[in-house]
Amino acid sequence: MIRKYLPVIFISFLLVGCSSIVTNTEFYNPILRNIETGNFDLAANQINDAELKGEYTEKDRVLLHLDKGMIFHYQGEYSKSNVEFEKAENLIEDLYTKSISKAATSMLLNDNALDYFGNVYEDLYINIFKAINYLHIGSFDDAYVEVKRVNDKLNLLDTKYDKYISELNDSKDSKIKIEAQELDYYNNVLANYISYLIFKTEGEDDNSRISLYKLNQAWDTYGDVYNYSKPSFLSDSTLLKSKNTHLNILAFVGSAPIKEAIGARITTFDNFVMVSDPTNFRVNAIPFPGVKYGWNFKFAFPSLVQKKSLVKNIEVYIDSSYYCNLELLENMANVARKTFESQKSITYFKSISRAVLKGIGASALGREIKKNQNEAVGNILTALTNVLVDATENADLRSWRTMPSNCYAAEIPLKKGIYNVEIRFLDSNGEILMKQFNTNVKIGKDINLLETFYLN
Amino acid sequence: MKPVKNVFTIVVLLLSLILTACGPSKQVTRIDTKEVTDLSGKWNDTDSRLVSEEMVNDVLSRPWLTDFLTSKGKKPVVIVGKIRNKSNEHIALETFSKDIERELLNSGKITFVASKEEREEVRDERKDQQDFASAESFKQFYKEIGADYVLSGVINSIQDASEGQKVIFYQIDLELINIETNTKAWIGNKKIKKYIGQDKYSF
Repeated sequence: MIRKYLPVIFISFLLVGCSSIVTNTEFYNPILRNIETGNFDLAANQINDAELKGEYTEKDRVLLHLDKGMIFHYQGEYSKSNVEFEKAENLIEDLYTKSISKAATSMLLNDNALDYFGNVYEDLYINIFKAINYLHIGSFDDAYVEVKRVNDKLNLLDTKYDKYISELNDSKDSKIKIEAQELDYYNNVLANYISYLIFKTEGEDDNSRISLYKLNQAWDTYGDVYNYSKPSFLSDSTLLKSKNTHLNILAFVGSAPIKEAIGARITTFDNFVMVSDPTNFRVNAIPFPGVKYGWNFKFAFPSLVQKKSLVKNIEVYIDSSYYCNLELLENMANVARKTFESQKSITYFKSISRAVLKGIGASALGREIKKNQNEAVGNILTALTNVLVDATENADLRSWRTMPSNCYAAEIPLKKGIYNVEIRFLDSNGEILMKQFNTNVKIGKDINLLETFYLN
Repeated sequence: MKPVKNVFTIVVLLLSLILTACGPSKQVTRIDTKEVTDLSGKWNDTDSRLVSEEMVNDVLSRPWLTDFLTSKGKKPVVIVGKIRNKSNEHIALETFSKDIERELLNSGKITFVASKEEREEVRDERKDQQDFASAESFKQFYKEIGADYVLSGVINSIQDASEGQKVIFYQIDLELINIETNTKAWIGNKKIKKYIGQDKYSF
């Protein structure tokens, strides 16, 4: 009796699960449009509306707090921003720890159906933006705590996913071994620049010199991340003299990289599978004990793609006179791409394992249907099952979309006093995209931080 | 009603009952403030209290105190200066400073002066008294007592984590500096090491 209804139960199960296995990104479009045009208040309202309408589901609450924290930061609400970022950071740690204990049972679940615990780069930039928030508030010890957390997280990155991977590999549903991707990234330029600013403001010249040394070390070590000229102001010999006063400008530009689904096909052979995907992520045969020759299955995995910013140059005018261009300090999208690789292999191998097991399961079910039902109904249900199996293999495209993609900076030596500072964002044709006027900027003995955004 | 429908109704009712009973409930219990409560493994009130007690005991048992009493014939005047947080946690430093102040003051072995912020507030009050308090009750300027020593320090931490487990090592360094001579009269440190395990089946 039960066997007769098995196909219906299976299909119903798949249908019920459909809403939670596709990443919902539609609601982001108006939010991102407003962020791009600098309408942060409107974007904040839209995030709140999206929350009320349930667009951010319970499993997406990390993203809700990231988006709220980011928009508060853009609005200059630094304390509120930190409250949201703190929630996001705690949730990431908590959900990641829980994901380890649930790894074995989550093997067959689409990643979209699981709690989002963030990507490595998202976890890092939480602390960097928190540190900048604390700099604005004038709480330098707290800013340093955040920088130290970035460094702690980077130091632990290479072993972070070991336990998660071993739990997944120990799962009874795991037929292939997930291979950990080595990640060589221990040092971040922007975090070191912030710690340099903190120590300089506190008059700790030795520590600020060490921070600059580490910054240079990061630049020289990770040529694939810092593949552009080092800002000239970093070699200015007056930087390390804490008695000199500077205007520090940080300009965040562009929008964060987003995840796109890469479609791939799996072909099975006796005890191994081959995968063809446009990125050639894994071209060698992947051992898959027990699998037989002759199946073809589809699956999708996420890949980070970067939308190019309109901004080509950023000019600084002090009291109406051109002073300098801002220089690219951190390509955050490069950091995202570099660190994303460490999680990509987990998603990739997990998806293959799931796609093959579901595909083989659906096929066995098809045979069962034909045996127990009438032939025509059996064929229709088999086809429907196959369509649903394919439809449920969606890549998890969740990411922190409200984050910027580049950080430009300048350190301008100015004597104590009051200045008018104008910042012009220019496109590749030299056309002005936006002018930002900052009147009565006070240069004093403490940090004189001016932060600005053009997020398109 | 058919028997199968009865069973179905009972199952639905039971499930509803179970689900409604599953909501979270909050329970508040008052506990002794000296009770050790390690929940997240982060720096907490117990750390603050134990570190301040131990370090104050240490500073008061060292030779600088008897040397000062012998040479000056009075109790040293101490002020708690800046304690820096260079750990990877946001620590309520004011609570820690107050714990140290309380322990020092309650020892009866030193005289304590108000902190910089407190002094400014008191000076404002004194200034106000000059205009508005009665001649018998207003307090005079230039009668403040200058501190002989300033106690300052730093809290550092090192974290190691793997496979859902974490070890946090805190080192608290305090220094007592003679304000007149800039000499260090005492250096003390206290180390705390915490292991934070994660029960696999606790969720």
